[in-house]
Amino acid sequence: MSPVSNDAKLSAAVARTLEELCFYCAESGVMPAEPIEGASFARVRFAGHWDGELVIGVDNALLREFAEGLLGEDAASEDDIASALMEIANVVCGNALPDVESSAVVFALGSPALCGRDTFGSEGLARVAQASLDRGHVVVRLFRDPVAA
Amino acid sequence: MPLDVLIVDDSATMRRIVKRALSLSGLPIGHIREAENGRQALDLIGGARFGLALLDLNMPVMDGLEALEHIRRAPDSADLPIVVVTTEGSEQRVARVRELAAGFVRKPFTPERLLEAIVVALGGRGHVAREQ
Repeated sequence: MSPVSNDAKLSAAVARTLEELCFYCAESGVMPAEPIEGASFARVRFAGHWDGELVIGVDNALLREFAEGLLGEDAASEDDIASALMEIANVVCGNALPDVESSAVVFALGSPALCGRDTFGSEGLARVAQASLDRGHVVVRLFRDPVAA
Repeated sequence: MPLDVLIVDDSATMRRIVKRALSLSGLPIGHIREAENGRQALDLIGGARFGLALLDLNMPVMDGLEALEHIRRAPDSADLPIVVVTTEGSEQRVARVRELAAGFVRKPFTPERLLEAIVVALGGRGHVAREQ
């Protein structure tokens, strides 16, 4: 059970980014977001105003459609799909951070990487978002690193 | 005259997306070269003439802002039309991009939004070329 309820600012940023990047109409979720079955995951580390990471999970069928739409391919390869997921994670992270914090603060984004579902259970969960589309769900979790004493 | 374009982004996927957007823009595109970081971009710019560069900011080895500063200081590339295409949203860095006389498009972008920024960076020449 997620200890953090769905975050309105993060959800709106995720939905808007998916609409503009993947040309899909997304509806911001209103329920607490949970890890999704049959999904692929990617993470982006960031540092700056505060340090942490964003993890995104996308239903596999939906991810294939995203990849084909993004790249203009009729049949995206597995490598294309993995690359598309990492790019989606990168763009969602870059857009979400100024929205949930402020455009006046600076975050430096690391390179996106694929990760496992277990990353969703990491400590330091700060914000959660879920976007629902016709063909599946996208779940985003924002983690904040503990501040060193 | 076709426009030779340099696309600078550490993500091969994003370079494909940008190339696709260029192909949909209606601009007369000539050769497209690609670089994975600012250092590679400077090497390519030093050895060839480009009509336009599309530059990411967050990249390893040399980031886009540092590359942009180098490009503007070099006499041969000081006037190169540049559009920064990035997820970067901080006001501070966007302001620095503007100071360096570069256009700015935030990812995600539509082909139309990219085209608008390119036309401005080209000083209207892209628009003229499209209409011919």
